[in-house]
Amino acid sequence: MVRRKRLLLGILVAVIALLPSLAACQAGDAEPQKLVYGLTLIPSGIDPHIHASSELGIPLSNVYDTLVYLDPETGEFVPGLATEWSVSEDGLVYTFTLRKGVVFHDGTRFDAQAVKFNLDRVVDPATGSQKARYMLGKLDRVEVVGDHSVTIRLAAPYAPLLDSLSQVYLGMASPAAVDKWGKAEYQFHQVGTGPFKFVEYIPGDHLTLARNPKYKWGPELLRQVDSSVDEIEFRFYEDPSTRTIALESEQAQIMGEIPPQDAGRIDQAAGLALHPVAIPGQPLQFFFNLSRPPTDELAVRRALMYATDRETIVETIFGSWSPVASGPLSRVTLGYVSDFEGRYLHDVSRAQELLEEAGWMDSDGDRMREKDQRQLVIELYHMGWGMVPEVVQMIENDWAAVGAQVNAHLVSYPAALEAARAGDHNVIPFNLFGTDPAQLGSFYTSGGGFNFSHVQDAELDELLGLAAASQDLPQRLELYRQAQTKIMEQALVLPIRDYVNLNASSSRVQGLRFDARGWFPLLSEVQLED
Amino acid sequence: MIGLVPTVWAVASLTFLALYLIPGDPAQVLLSESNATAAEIAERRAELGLDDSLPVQYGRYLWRLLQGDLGESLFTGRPVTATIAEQFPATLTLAIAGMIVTVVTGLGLGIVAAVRRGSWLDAAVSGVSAVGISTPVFWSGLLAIWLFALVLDWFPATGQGGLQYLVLPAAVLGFSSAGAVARVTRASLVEVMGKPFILVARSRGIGPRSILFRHVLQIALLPAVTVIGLQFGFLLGGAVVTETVFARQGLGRLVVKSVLRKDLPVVAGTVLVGVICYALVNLLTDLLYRALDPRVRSHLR
Repeated sequence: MVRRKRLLLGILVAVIALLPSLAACQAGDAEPQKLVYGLTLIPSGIDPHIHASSELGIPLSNVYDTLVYLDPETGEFVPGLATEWSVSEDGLVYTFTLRKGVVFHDGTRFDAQAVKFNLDRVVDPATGSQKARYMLGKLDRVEVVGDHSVTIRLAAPYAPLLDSLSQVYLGMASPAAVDKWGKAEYQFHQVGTGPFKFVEYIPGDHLTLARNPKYKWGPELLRQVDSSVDEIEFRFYEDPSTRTIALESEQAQIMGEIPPQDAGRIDQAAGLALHPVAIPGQPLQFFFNLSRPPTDELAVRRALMYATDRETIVETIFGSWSPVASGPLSRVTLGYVSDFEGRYLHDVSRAQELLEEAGWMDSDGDRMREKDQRQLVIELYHMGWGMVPEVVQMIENDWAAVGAQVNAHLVSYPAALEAARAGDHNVIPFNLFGTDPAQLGSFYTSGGGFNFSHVQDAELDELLGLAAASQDLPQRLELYRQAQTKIMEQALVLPIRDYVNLNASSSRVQGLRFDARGWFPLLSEVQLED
Repeated sequence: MIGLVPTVWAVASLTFLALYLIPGDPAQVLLSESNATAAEIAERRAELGLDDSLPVQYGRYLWRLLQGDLGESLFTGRPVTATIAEQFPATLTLAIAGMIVTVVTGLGLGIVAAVRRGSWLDAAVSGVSAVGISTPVFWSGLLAIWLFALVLDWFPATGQGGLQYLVLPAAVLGFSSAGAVARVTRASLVEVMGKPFILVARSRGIGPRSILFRHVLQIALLPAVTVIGLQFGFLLGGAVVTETVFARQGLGRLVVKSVLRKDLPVVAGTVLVGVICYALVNLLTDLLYRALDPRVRSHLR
């Protein structure tokens, strides 16, 4: 009896003793001038040279400076760590003059050697870069010309290079810190030159930044004010329904990706402010697969475009917060053309006409069309992101109204990508974000990594290839206009809505601005009023 | 513990096969936010060894496991052991705290119901148990956040930190298992209280309180211990959902995420840790059983 009691008591004591020590491991310190910023997705990793997610850039674009910056107001490149730069006539040689007196958070100096170290690291296959490596075109080599002068040599002209160099994925990290921690651990000890220092990252829990008091070399758009916050803690709110709650209960002061159904409430609420930011890149869009019947027929693709009531879909699901998309690029993207704004407007009789002309008839009276004993069935794959399932549902109804039956497959992300590559789909949603129209090359050239339309068009390949290499901006934009016209005439893609990130904050937050990519906040000026 | 080896092998193989069979190409996922060309994606797939045949990939995987090497995550490039070590304490804390809630409320409610059997209290307990058993954690979690964090403002809604962050998720998680424990406790108590030796004890004039604590509980708690041990597995599973609802870090969220992007090393590592935990808890249950039940002890000798 005594022994038994002792055993039970022992277990109880062990459990009680264990609990607080475990809890203590995660206890954060509460500090006064601190701000909590809610992220919506836990990135798989947060080394910008290695990992790809947009989420990592929200904190880290404030830790790293880039050689140049893209001014969100003017769309011009402005000096960052490079004060001047020049591009050779043939577009192969970029020479940068670097800013002097710039110091990494670990006290080491920033110089030409550091630039070479960073770019070499990105392209080294051993680094395993998931994004940055593919942003440099065909990089030949990086040469240190002087202490504060560096040359980037390309094997082929690559017009988006400055745009790439203005992004956090090619931010400048301290070579000493990268060497010290090694490939896998550096992400927990990141060292840049930006307005905020990296303090710590506990995966899935929080990431903390502290103000860099020595920051004096930033461009105008990253200027610091004396009263800006000392510490920013990023926390994760993956479940959309918890985001507004966290803001309302003052657990977080800034939050991204508010669900559209909550946005109106936040906009009206007294203590909260809504900051909608349009995201450059591609709209929410559905690709038509040209290699699989029935979407191999232009008439079917066009008919489905006319059958889709985009206005109603956007208004019903996204409210007044996002514009209806009309082409392969969103309105705030370089290279956007308004040529398609009146095209493919909802027109059921036009859709029916097109299908009938192509021989798709409802001969057995089941309200579904068929041709040569084949039903008009559309295989639609999607991964259940954001509000896509709701959009799919409305598309199903719209297409059924013209006699096309949709088989919707909700699958995991890897499965959807695999289906898209294999060509199992007729229709699949996908898009990337970015300020430069060169992204169209990934989607609409025959060797593109996301050629989910399975388009093989020599003319498109040439247009997009020339455009990505052209140093002459007006000529470049003209080439992109021609490519987009072809894309829309061939009905390769059904655009639905331009992305708008619905950020929200406590109204105590002042000075919150966003960079040219839309996703990334410029936090150097953010203050918290009492 | 030797018996654990075939279990671990079977689980490891099933995990491998399941992840191999679900459609998708990790290389394509890895580069899905980049401008990589189709050729560059194919190149990366070869680099990762994903072009090799099933037996080759399986052999390489088992050989690594045999050496105690869980490998590196395909996506973060970090050792799986480090990733798990980071997330495990949070899940363990939640599971233990949930367990305490389960044991205290489950046993408490079960005893009350058995003692007052047939009364309104008994009916109330069986009602509460039914609600506990049948309410999914994702729903009771949101409800608890709404009531205790938003309306009453007693606890923080989400996240983690001190004990105040643990209360709601632990209560929600623990409550989901408490119903089953309460039911078994009640049934077992009722059964034991009807046994002849209790009648004898009662006829000898021993007070009801003394009968309950000295004679009945000791025997009646045995099935409850078994159920509590089994519920631990359920709690580990429930922790996955609870972690998501309350935005807490932990193995649950890690494994869901890793399955969704076919990160085999991380999924395999996490599942193996889960198996070992479950086996350890079962072992602990057996030991506890032995300590509580003299019959099992003498039998084993």
